[in-house]
Amino acid sequence: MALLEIDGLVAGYGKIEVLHGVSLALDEGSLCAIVGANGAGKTTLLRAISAIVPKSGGRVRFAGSEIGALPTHAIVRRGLAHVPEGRRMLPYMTVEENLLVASAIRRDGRAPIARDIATIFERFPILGARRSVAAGSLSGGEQQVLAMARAIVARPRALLLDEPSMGLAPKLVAQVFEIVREERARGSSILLVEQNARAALSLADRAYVLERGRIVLEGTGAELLTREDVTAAYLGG
Amino acid sequence: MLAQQLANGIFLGATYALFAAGYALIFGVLDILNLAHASIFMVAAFVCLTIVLAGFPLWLGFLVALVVAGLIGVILDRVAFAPLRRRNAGTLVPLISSIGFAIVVEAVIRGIYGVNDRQFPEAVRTAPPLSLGPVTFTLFDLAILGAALALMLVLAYVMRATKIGRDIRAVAEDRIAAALLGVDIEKTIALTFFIASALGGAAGVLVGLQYNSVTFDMGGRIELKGLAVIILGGMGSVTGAVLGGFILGVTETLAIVFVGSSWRDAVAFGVMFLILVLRPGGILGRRALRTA
Ligand SMILES: Nc1ncnc2c1ncn2[C@@H]1O[C@H](COP(=O)(O)OP(=O)(O)OP(=O)(O)O)[C@@H](O)[C@H]1O
Ligand SMILES: [Mg+2]
Repeated sequence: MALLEIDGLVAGYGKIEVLHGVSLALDEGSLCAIVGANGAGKTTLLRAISAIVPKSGGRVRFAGSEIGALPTHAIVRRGLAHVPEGRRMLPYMTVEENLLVASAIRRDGRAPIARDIATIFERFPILGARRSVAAGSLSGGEQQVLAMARAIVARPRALLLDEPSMGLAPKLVAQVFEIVREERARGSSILLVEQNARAALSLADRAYVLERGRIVLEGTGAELLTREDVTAAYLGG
Repeated sequence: MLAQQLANGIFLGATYALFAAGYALIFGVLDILNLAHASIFMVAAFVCLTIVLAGFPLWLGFLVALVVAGLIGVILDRVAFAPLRRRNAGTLVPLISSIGFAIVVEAVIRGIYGVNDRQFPEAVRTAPPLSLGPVTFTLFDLAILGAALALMLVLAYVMRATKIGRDIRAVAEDRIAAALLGVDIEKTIALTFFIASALGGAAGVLVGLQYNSVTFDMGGRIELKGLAVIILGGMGSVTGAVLGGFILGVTETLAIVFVGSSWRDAVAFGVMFLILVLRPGGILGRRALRTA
């Protein structure tokens, strides 16, 4: 059974329906990519899973239980971390405070959390060097690393990543994908939305193409990479 | 003479600062003006008065009043703000519903205690006079100042160094980001109301003691000042509101000496107006709550 299972999800903003019955599954320890044009509903899908956008139909199951009716914080506390589009820093709080807020859902006490934060500062020296600086003063790339570090420090069972490479210089894009690869190698389950479809598909065990609120194609990452219609539409030929 | 008035201004300003700190905290977190803050300020004074008149010590009355004020704040949020929040009602409608809550609270207190001015027993307020150079005051004045400063220090500590404070600041900065990091928004807002209202209640008790007068409409006198002070401090900046409270207290007492007591409010508001002309964002601007 999949770790995260979405079945017939309907969601939108007010009267505007954006997702018209989306179904997908994320297996434990796998990476699943979602690609689609601007406005297809990729962000809305992740927001509906995290209950930022209300769902008007369908079911969401995570780790064996129904989470469709839970509020956002309860979903996150079950182990479903969401790195949102636009990174969403707590801009006037320091880098370290951003990590402390994120780690507060853990139940294993202060010492292991402090150790993990220290490990994060070693793993990402750009954050370590700026631990006492307001997060809002970081560069876009640094903010993205912090956004991912906030998710990692919460020790989630699955990660939802919404366009982590958006707006970053090529060198930073490579770094962000490196983090995704590392997290996957550690056994994290990842649902990745990316405009950088080639990079996402080449990492993906499974991939879905979302078009105007519907899944129109699914397959392994490798399969979709070889499909001419997909490459033409989302990979620039 | 000047030193004495400065000291009086600081004694007065400390209670303004305490009142405004709670006011600013709610504004900073929710972007709404809580116009029931002054009614909670008043209720707390009555709670303390009642406990003291029943023969219990003042410190006990003060603590109970703080807790009761905090709990009324939580009820206020549930009744007047939370339902509107769920409907995304914006910032103007909650303003009205908080006025409604205040009217009900004032009517209840008026019904129970009547319209007459109430006093604490004289024994509570008698304290040995002290002097520091040219300045004289009583131990009682000092205790009020000490209580106000201690509560503001506790607030600063909670906001800076505890999980509750971090959660409150996170919700103030970006509610969705906070929720995505696992912060329980509704619980955090309830805690914010508890803390802010307890501070407002503490200010009510201290002002009631300072003037030795507790009335059902005592909130009206401080409400406008509190509003002016949080605008002066920079909407939503708690540190700014505290500074603004002291500035107002000192300005008022100096106005009494140099211009005359009937000009007190006109001068005080005039000075605040001038500061805002020079710094339209307030003394510290919005940013400061976030770091304080
Ligand atoms: N807050 C909102 N209110 C109303 N409509 C919205 C809102 N956010 C998004 N939409 C609409 O929902 C649709 C899907 O948007 P969504 O952001 O989910 O797309 P996306 O696939 O993430 O696009 P992108 O690649 O640009 O990030 C779009 O038509 C968009 O205009
Ligand atoms: Mg998007």
